[in-house]
Amino acid sequence: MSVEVRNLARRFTDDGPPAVADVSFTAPTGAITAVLGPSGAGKSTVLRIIAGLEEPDGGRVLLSGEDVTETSVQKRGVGFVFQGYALFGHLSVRENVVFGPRVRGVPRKKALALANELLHRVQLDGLGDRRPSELSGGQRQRVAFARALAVSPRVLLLDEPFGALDAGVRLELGEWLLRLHDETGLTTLLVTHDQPEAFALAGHVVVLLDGTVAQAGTPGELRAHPKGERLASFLRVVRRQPAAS
Amino acid sequence: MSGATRRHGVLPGFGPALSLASLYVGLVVVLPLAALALRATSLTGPDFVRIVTAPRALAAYKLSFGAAFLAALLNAVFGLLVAWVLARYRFRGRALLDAFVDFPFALPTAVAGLTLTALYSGQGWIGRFLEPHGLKVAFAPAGVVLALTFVGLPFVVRAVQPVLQDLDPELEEAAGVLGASRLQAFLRVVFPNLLPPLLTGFTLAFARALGEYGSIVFISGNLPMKTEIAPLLIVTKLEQFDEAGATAIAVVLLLASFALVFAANTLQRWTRRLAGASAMTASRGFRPAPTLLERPAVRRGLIAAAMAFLGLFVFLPLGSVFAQALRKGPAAYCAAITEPNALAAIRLTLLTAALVVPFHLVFGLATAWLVAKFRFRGKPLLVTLVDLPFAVSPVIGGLALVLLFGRRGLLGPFLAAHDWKVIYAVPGIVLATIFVTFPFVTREVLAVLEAQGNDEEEAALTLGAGGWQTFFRVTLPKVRWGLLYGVVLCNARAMGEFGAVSVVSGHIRGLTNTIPLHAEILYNEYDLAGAFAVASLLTFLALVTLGVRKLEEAREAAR
Repeated sequence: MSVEVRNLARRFTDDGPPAVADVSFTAPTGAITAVLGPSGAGKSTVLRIIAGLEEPDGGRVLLSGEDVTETSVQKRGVGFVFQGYALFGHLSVRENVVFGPRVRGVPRKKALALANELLHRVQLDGLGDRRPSELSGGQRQRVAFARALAVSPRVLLLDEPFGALDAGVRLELGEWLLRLHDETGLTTLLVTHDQPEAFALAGHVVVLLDGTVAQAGTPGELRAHPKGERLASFLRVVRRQPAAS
Repeated sequence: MSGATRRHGVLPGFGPALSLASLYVGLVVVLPLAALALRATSLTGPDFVRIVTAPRALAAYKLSFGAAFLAALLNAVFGLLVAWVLARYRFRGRALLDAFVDFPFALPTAVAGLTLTALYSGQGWIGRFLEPHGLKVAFAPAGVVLALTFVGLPFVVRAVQPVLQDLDPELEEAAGVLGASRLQAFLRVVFPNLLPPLLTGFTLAFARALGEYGSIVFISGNLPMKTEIAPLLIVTKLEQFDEAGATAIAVVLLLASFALVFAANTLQRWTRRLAGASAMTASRGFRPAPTLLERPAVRRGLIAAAMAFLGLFVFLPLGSVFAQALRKGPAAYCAAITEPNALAAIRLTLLTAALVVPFHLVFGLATAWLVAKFRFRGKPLLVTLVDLPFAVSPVIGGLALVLLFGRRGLLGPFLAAHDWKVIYAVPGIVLATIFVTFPFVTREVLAVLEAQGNDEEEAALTLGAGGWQTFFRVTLPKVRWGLLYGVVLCNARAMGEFGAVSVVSGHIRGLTNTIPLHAEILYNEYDLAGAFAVASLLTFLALVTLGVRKLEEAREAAR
């Protein structure tokens, strides 16, 4: 399942520059692709357009070559992990995971079994009855993953998945994400402003600057041949800074 | 997936919510006020000017605007003090004080008028110490200011308190490190941040006081040229069948309310901009460096002053209601609330609430959903219209209904032809109550929705939930405590409404008297114990309302 976007454009204000000017790239099947850029570059907007949470002013979104631009968010079949997780505060951890299958008509018993299996996979056995507010940041993050995976998504979209966590936990969860990806083989799109994180996790990196694609390629290619002054300086500046958000 | 969704956002339900909200605001707010405006245009310019500049009208305006301004000013000063003490200090009794700040909001204003009059009249607990020194409060302009201060008390506190709580303590620490004294840090760092909410609270208190009627009727003595406020003059003119005169007086008040609501909304946007400008806000409460706290003596003094203010304005009137109600003993109390006319009043009050509250529940939810979740043209106007009934004098609401449904009203001939009675009958009471309780459900739900953002709804959509599923399974559980408080507050205000209901009821004992109107009749017949016995029922209701509010806060904090 590849993800392709063609000439995406979106503006939020009538004056001033658009949030997304003209973005095209392809995220290859089964790989982790990072969308990297400074804040305000339009990364999250692109991801939200792919999920169907925003509508583009122009451009197309294709999943496995199928045009889904007009498909509603409910029918796109994407898994989305929100930056602040957006866990349902009034539901237990298990009910959060069960939510997706249930609204899609999966019988409760089957949904519960699936939820328990997923909670096991994200190493949260025994925490199913807790409220999200009773979990640590890293645990909440994994609940968000389990909830997204519960609908058997075609692609996984991660919006700054480690942005709210401290450095030690980020490292640990990064390794965990790679292992999870090896197991599921899901095409994964990851938005981040953190260059080391992008280079460490993704096999393919798309760098956004000011709402356009500055360059795309493997981490090795980007490191060796950064295209243009701005991109080089962005990559260098980020490299010099610690990985805190 | 047409252009419509693109403009308004991805969440479902824009169309239905817009229809419901337009219907709601259109029928309940715009239509009556349009009837008022229409009636006003039938007056010639010179006639209008003659009515609103008559000596008696000018005296009423002077008292209304002057007393409301003074009361709002008093509330600004003491509200800031109370907000500071509640936000910054931990002391025994803090939770109780915090809960009772909202008491004047939940207590029917007629009950407030009754109890303040009893306290400050010549024989009252406080009046007996003041009058020998020539200080007349009850039945004098000072009484008007006092009652208006009471009804406006929560606004400044509730506007300032959250801003103070979210203020980044590092701001004050930085000021301290740079060498500012505690007072300097307050004046130069804290106060500028508090100015917008302080002005918002002041404006709301001013608007509320300008339209207040229920409490003033009791405490002012209602002497033309001396202690007659503008809303009372409207009622007087209406009772003399001078609808044109009542309308002209009302239009001036209405324009002032419009301006004040608009100003308050603008100020609120300013507050939000300031809050957004600070890089970080402390959500876990205020914990500055210990070296930067006030000296213990200063702190104790401030706490004592806040307690004294709330004691005088909240706890004393509250105690007085029950003391007066029981002064002839429990048997007389029971007799007063079970005699046939009282029971009829209770029944009518319950019936009214049972019709009004579900109505606001459905339409208020739809309106809050619309405003919180979608961008659309005309939104600021819609929000202003939602707030308007709160700032408009209840008397003007009642007048508008008379102009619409009364015998000589716009729909009067039509109603008469079908032998339908609205004014001086139960439907009029229900409509008047719907008008005055308009904003509560919408406002409370909207506050919760706006605080929580769209993340959870969007997550539900990505998981495949449809519009109704998202609403019932995600949004409704999320807002249920806010909704509960909105409903309970709406209920308390519906049961306690005085001004608007008074205008349309006709005061037919046993038929069109609600609990507050029944209390007024007993009071006018010098049956004080009876009046207070009936009023104590509404006071209980106010206490329950405060309890639900505390419950809601506890639930929100637990999230």
